Amino acid sequence: MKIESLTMKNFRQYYGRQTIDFAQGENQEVVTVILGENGRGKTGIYRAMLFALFGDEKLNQDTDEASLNLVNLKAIKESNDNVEAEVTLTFSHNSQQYVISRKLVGGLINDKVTEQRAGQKLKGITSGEEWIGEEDISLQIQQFIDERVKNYFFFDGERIERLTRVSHQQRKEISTGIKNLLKIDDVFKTEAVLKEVKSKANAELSKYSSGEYKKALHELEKREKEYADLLLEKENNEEYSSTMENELNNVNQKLSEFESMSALLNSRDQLEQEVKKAEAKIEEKTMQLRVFNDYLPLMMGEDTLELVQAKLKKELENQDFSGISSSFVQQLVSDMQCICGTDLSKNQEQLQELKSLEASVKEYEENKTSHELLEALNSLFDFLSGRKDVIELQLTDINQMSYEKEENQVKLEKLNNRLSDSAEGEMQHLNDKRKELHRKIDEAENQRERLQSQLTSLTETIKNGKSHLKELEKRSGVRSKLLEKNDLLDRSLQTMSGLIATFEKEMIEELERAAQQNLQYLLDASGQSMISRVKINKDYSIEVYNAYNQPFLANISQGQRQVLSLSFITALAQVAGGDSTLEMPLLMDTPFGRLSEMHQKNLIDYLPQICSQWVLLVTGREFGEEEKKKFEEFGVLGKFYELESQEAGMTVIREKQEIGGVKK
Amino acid sequence: MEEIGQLRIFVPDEQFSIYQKLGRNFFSKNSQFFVYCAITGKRKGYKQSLKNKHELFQANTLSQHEWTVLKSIYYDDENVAGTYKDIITKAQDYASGGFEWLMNNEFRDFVHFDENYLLTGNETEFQIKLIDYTLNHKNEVPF
Repeated sequence: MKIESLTMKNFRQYYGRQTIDFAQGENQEVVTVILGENGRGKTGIYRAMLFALFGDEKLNQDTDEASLNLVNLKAIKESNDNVEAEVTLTFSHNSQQYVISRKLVGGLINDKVTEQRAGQKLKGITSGEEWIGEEDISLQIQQFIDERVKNYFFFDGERIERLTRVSHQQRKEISTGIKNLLKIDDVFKTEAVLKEVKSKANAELSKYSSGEYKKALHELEKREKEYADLLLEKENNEEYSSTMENELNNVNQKLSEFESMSALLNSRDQLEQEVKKAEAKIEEKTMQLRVFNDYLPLMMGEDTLELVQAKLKKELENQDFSGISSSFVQQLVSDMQCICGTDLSKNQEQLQELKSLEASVKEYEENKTSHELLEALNSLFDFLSGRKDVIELQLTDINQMSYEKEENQVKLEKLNNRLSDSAEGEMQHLNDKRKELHRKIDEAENQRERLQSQLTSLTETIKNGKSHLKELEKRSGVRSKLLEKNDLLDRSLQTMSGLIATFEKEMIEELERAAQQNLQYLLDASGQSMISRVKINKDYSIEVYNAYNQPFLANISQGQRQVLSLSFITALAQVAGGDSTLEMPLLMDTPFGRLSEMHQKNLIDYLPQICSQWVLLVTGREFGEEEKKKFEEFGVLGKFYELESQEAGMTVIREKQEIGGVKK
Repeated sequence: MEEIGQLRIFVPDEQFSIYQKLGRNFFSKNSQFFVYCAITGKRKGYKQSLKNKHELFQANTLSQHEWTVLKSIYYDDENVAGTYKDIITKAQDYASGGFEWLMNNEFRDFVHFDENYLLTGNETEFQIKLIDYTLNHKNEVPF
C-alpha cells in the first residue's frame, strides 16, 4: 500500500480544502517531511489518515473524557448552518489505485459543537468499483491493511516514549502487539469457549458426585472461582494503572510545555534565596552597628559644638592659666618676692609683669566655667576622633549589600511579571496532580504484586486440588462418562494453551530478531559495543543484554532507550508486513526527540531502506537545517511541507519548494 | 553652679513611648536619644515648651560628654554658663522640638502618630537610617 495524497476539508485545524502529496519513492525519495510546531496540526494529519482508512474518530492516546471536535471550529463559527468536513485519501495497492473519503457534519446547538458522520465512499479508480457501506469498506480495507496492526505503521511520539519506560503500559503495549501480530483470533475464541464448556462440565460433575470427591471438587471449584476473580481484579488493576500512566503522560507533556517557565521559576527561587541571605547578613551587620549608637548623640552635635568651641576660643583668647590661682600671684606681689627669689622692689619690670599676670589670672577665674566648657569640648572631640571613620566603613558595607539586594529585588520583580500568576497556578496544579498520579500508580503496583502473589499461591493450591481429585477418582474407581468428558476438556484446554504459547514464542523470537537487527543498525558505535541482545521477558517487558549476557537495560541512556523503542516498533511493523521491505507507509510523529546526532543519522539512513514510504511529522526543534541536509545527503527527501498557523485554530499547509537547492 | 542633685528630665507625654523604646532597643540609656533630639532641635531651631510631661530619666545619669553637649547648647544661646536647671529646661524645649522635627522628617517612615508616637516598621532599616542621617546630617541643604 502506498499513500499518494491526503485532502482535508474543514478537518481539525485545516480550514477550507488543503492537500498533501506524499513522496512516492521515485529515485529513492521515499520521505515526506511535515514540519510544524506543537499545536499546528501534525497529529491532525495522523488523525485524518486513520479516520479516512478506518473511520477512527479517536486515537489510542486520547483520554476518554477529552472532547475532541473533528470539524474545523472556525468554519462552524462562520456558518449559520451545518458545516461539512471531509477527508480524502488516495492510495494504491498491488498496482490498483483507490480513493477513500469520509464525511462529517458539525454545527452549533446551544453553543455546543455537535458532530455526526455523513457518509463514506471507497472507490477503485483502476477497477471502477465502488463501496459505500461501512462494513463493505471495512472488509475491503482489511485486505490492504489488517486493522489489528494499523498502529504499527502509524505511530506517534507518545508510543515511542511509552515503550522507553519500564512500566505496565510498556508490557501491555508489547503483549497486545504480539497478540495482534499472531492474528489467531479464532484460536483465542476457541480457548475461551473451551473454558466455558469446562466450567459447565464441572458443574455437572459436581451435581452427580458424592462424598469426599464432591467435597474436593467443590473446594477446587471454589479455588478456581477465586482464581478467576483475582485474575479479573488484576486485569482491572492493570487497566487502572494504564489509565493513570496515560494521564501521567499527559500531565508530563503539559508540564514539559512549562519547561522554560520552570527555568524561570528556578531563577526566581535562587534570587529569593539570595535576597533572604542578603537580608540576614544586613540584619547581622546592622545589629553590630548598634554598639556605635552611644556616640550618635555626640556626633549629631558636632557642627554646633565646633561653633561653640570657636566662640569660646575667641572669647578666652590668651587666657591659658589653668592651675595658677590669683591669690597666689597676689601674695607674691604683696611680698615683693618672686618664686625664683628675685626681689621685686629692685626689679620694677618684673613687678609689672607679675601685676599683669595677677590681672589675667583674675579674669580667667571669672570665666572659669567657660574655660571648663572649652576643655570639655576639646575632650569630647578627642573622644569622637576616629569613631566616625569606623562607623562609615561599616555603613558602606551595609549600603553595598543593600544595593546588591535591591538589584536582585528588581530582577525578582521582572521575573514575577513574566511569570503570570495563572500559569504558575496551573503548573502547581499539574505538579500536584502528577504527585497524586504517582501515588496512585505506586498503590496499584503494590496491589498488583499482592494479587500476583495470591494468584501464584492459588495456582499451586489448584494444582494440588486437581491431583487430589485424580487420586480420588482412581480410588473410587469411578470412570463415568462425565469424568471422561472432563478429562477431555482438560486436555483440550492444555493443548490450546500450549498452541498459543508456541505461536507466541515463535512470534516473540521473530520480534526479538527483527528488533535486535534494527537496534544494531540504529545504535551508534558505543551503543553497539554495549548492547548485544534484545529479549522480551515472560511478563512482556523488554530487556537488553550486554556482551557478558547480563541484563543491561538499567544502564542505557534515554537516547538509547528511544532507539530501542524505535527498533521494537519498526520490528512490529516489519513482522506485521511479513516482508523485509515494508509494503506499508511508516508514519512517525516527532520521533527524533532525544536522539543523538549519530542515532538520527542512522535512522535517516536505515528506515528508507526497509520501508516504501516514510512520513515524518516533526517540530522545528528536532528538524532544523542540519537534519534537512542529512536527508538531502542520503537523497531520500521527496516532499517537504510546513504547517503555518494563520490564526488560532487555522493552519495552512505550505509546500517548501526547494529541496537540495533544486526547485521541485 | 549648684549641684545636679535630684534634677529630673521630662519629655512630652506623647513622645515618651518612643524614647522608652529607643532607649531600650537602640541605645544604652534614655538620656542618649534625649541628647540626640536636643541637639537636633538646636540645629534646626525648633523648640517647644513642655505641657503634659513625663519623666524620662534623672539628670545625674547624663555622662560628662552629654553634659558638654547640653551646656554648649545653652552657652551658644545665652553666652553664659547657666545653672543646671536652666540648661535642662532649655535642653527639654529643644529636645521636644527636635523630636517633632525628626519624627516628621527623617524618621517619618518609621513612626505612627495616634495620640502618641509609636515606632513601627523595620528596625534594621531604622537603625541604618539613624546612623546614615547622623553621619550625613552636615550635608543637609540649609533652609
